[in-house]
Amino acid sequence: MDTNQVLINYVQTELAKGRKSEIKPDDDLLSEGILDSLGILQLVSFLEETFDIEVDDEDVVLENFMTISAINDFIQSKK
Amino acid sequence: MITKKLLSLNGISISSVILYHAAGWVFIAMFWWTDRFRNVAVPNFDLMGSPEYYLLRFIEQLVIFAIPAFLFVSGYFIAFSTPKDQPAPSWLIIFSRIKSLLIPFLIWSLIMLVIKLIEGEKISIAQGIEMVVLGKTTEAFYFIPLLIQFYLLSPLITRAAKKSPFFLLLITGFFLLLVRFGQYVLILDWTIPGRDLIRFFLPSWFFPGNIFWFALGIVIAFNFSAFKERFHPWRYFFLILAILLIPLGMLEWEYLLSHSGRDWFPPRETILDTVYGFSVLISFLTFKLKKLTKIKAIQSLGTLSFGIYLAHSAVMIVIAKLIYRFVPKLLGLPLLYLPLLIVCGLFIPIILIMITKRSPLKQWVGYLFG
Repeated sequence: MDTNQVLINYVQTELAKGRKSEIKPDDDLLSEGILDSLGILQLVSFLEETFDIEVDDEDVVLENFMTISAINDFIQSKK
Repeated sequence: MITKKLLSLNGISISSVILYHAAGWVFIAMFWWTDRFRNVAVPNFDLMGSPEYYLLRFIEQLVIFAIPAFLFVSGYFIAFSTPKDQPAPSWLIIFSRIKSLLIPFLIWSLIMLVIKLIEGEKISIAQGIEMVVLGKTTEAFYFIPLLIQFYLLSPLITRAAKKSPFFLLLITGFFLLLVRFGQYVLILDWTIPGRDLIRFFLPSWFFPGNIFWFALGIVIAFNFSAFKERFHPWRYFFLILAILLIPLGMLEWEYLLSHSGRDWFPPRETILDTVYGFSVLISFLTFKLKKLTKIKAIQSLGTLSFGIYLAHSAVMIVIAKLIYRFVPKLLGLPLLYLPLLIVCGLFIPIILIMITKRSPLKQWVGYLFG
């Protein structure tokens, strides 16, 4: 499964919690109410464990987590 | 790693909220339901000063940092939601966040109203609306209207946090101390000029009394490296201060209670409690805590914290009333009653969330539990 799909599956099942039926790579996760304060904390842990990367404090900015595509780009930049 | 720490902080804070409210129910049993396990008239304050009484007070004092911690994490999220080149988060993000708080809050507020009506309480429609809007359907729910006010104010706060963070903390800190000072005025019945004005700021759902914690989260998030550099050398100072403030806070409350002219009433946050909350937060952020942040159970509690927060009040009231009716002897055994309330208050909401996630209602889990 490619990274985008892994991310979409995770966000859909763990973070969206039924608030959106289909998540696309360029959906704004914050404006759509999918990513909240707990969601971002959860997502960072998931990325570290699943993709074996280290997310530094300075990396946790909106620009890296706004969409699935942005998260994907961020993961690739960390590998 | 700050995100793991914040998730753990949320997990510890939600456990603390459960402990605090469980202790509150045991106090009710001790003083107001005494006639269910002893042949006395109520209220009865014979158990004031007993070892069980001080155990409960210790718990309340220990966990009083929980709400400041939740507000701090929410402020941290607002800073995250603010693009680097923008002064504030977009209104779209703010309204979407408010929506995701509001729907589950309204559902659980209605559940609490129904419980009250079933118990025979008379509530008019106007009273019901006021209770919901101000988060008064249960003791814990003031937090959500409070948080919504902070989100609405967040464009102003983030602007101030970017321009003059020190000034922002000074102003919000002033309001915090003013409101805490107001508690002394009311408890000790001081007659001072501006007493009515102070009273105006006191309700827990009203933003001035807690805005400092939200602003602190934003300011620290915007300046995390500078914060670490400045506060790291002071970490043992804040830890020791936090430890010392637990017994001092207990002594302060006993003093206030004995000079209030009342037999007993639930604790209110004082200036010492505020300094304690601040010290706990700073200690948590400045120590590494690597082992703590690896404990999966705490992290999992952190991820479920809002759902647990919403559901625990209804669970606790039902359990407490069932025990009152069917097993009243248990009310006289605080060392059994307290852990039972804690376990039910924590795990029944978790079970409810898990069942909902695995049921046909799973698409509604976000609307039910946040």
